[in-house]
Amino acid sequence: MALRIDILLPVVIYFLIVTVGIGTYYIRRYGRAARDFTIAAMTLPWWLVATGIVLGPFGAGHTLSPAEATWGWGAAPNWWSIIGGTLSLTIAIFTSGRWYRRLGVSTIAEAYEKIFGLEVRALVAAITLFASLSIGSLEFYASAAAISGFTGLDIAFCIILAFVFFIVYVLFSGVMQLATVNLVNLVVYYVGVALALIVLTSVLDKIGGWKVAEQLIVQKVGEKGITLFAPEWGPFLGLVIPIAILHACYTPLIQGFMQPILAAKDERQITRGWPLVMVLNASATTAFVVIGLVALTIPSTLYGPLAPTIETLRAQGAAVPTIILTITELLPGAGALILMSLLAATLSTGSAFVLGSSTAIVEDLIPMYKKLDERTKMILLRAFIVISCILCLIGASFMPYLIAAFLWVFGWTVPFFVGLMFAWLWRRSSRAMLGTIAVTWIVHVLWTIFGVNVPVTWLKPPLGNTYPLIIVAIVTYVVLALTSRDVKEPGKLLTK
Amino acid sequence: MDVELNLAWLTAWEGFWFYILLIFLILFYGGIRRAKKGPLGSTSQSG
Repeated sequence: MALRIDILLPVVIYFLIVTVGIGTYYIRRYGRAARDFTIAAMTLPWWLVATGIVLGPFGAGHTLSPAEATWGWGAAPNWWSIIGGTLSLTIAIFTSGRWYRRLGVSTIAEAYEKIFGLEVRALVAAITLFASLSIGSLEFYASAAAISGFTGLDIAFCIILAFVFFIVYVLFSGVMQLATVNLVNLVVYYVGVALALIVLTSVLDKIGGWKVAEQLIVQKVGEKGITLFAPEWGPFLGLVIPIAILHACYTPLIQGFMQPILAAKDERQITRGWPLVMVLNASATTAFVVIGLVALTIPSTLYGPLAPTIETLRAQGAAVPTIILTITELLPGAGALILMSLLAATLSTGSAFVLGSSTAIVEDLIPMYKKLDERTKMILLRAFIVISCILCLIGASFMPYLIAAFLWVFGWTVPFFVGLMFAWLWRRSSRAMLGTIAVTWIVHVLWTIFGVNVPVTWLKPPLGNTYPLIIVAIVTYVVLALTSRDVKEPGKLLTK
Repeated sequence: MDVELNLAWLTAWEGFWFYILLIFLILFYGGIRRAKKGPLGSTSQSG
């Protein structure tokens, strides 16, 4: 495929104008004060809280990952935002988010320290850093795959290009600007996918309309390709339930997602924007699921029975670029627009993770060992932004299967959510929490390695890990909380 | 076939991040141990 300058150029120009432009504007207008956005906590009105909550998780998980997953799961990946996103955000808004806010903390790790003590705080800090960086590497890879697929550039080169994009994005965007840049990107995303869907319908007419496409999709992945309510249990047990459970566990633990809630003016501002959050999040994946499904029909029409299967592509680590390639065949002229939408989502989420993890290293981890002055902190922050990007670069070079990688990372957060719920509603025990984390993590590692031998398909790793993880976490916490001597009632700390 | 699948699943990506997680756990655990010895910044041991 020849290099598509017509796609690459508008995207680079857009990227420079939005990130560097807005970044420079903020630096000129506010100077160093721009850094203090996070400190301006507990002043956010409901609509900034709501848009912030929607924007946090809005990256590759809502776009390329479901598009890629349609090739095996049909339409079911659309549940990612419909049930995974909305359910987890609802739980976070009405339970954990409000509890954190009542505790008056500025970080999630701090909240866990108040509830369970110092050791649990350390574990939360470590798992948050790990999750931020590993998910960052997925956003990184998705960005590279998108650039490669749309422009025809080599994927290895695009991973390097994504590295440059991320570094520029984070260094120029700081914290305060990131919120504005992300808001611009959210608008670009919705306009982009809306236009893409319009182009898509006109292209569908060329291959004989939606009816013909439907038949081709059913041929490829069966009935589950054209309905969210598949007549079989496979997608429901193997994908939808794991998505719902793991999202619920992961979301309340991620500082970047909870930041707008922690910074809300009062508790009322947290819940007020809930309907807006629901609508924006639930509709986020649909366009890319439709695009992914229609892309399924293209190999058939282009290559006939010799079309590569999803398994072959996955084995080559090439599913995402190939899907994008078929999208460019499918939507001539819309390439730049979709690439912009994709990068708007992946860059903003990915850079928030990179910035969040770098800040955590400089603000939380290093001060445990050595006191730092402000100037050193700023220098170290920049250094760790580059180091975080290098780690993401290495992670991205493994070219993981996105949806599986996402849910594997989410799996580590299961015990924290279970412990928080029990501590709030029933009994609070540091020992129970620590024991639950240990046992659940051991099960996660063992199931990842040996779970493939389980004869039931929907129990196989990584998505199948969900069931043993949630059961083991609940049972362990209950048993330990019943037998430990350090048990406290939910108590005055948590209830108002 | 099972063994082959086992190894296939424990892909480089998961392996890589698993080691990073271990490093973070060790660093934070060390930090907590130091913090427990005395309030941060109040004693000479915090560097």
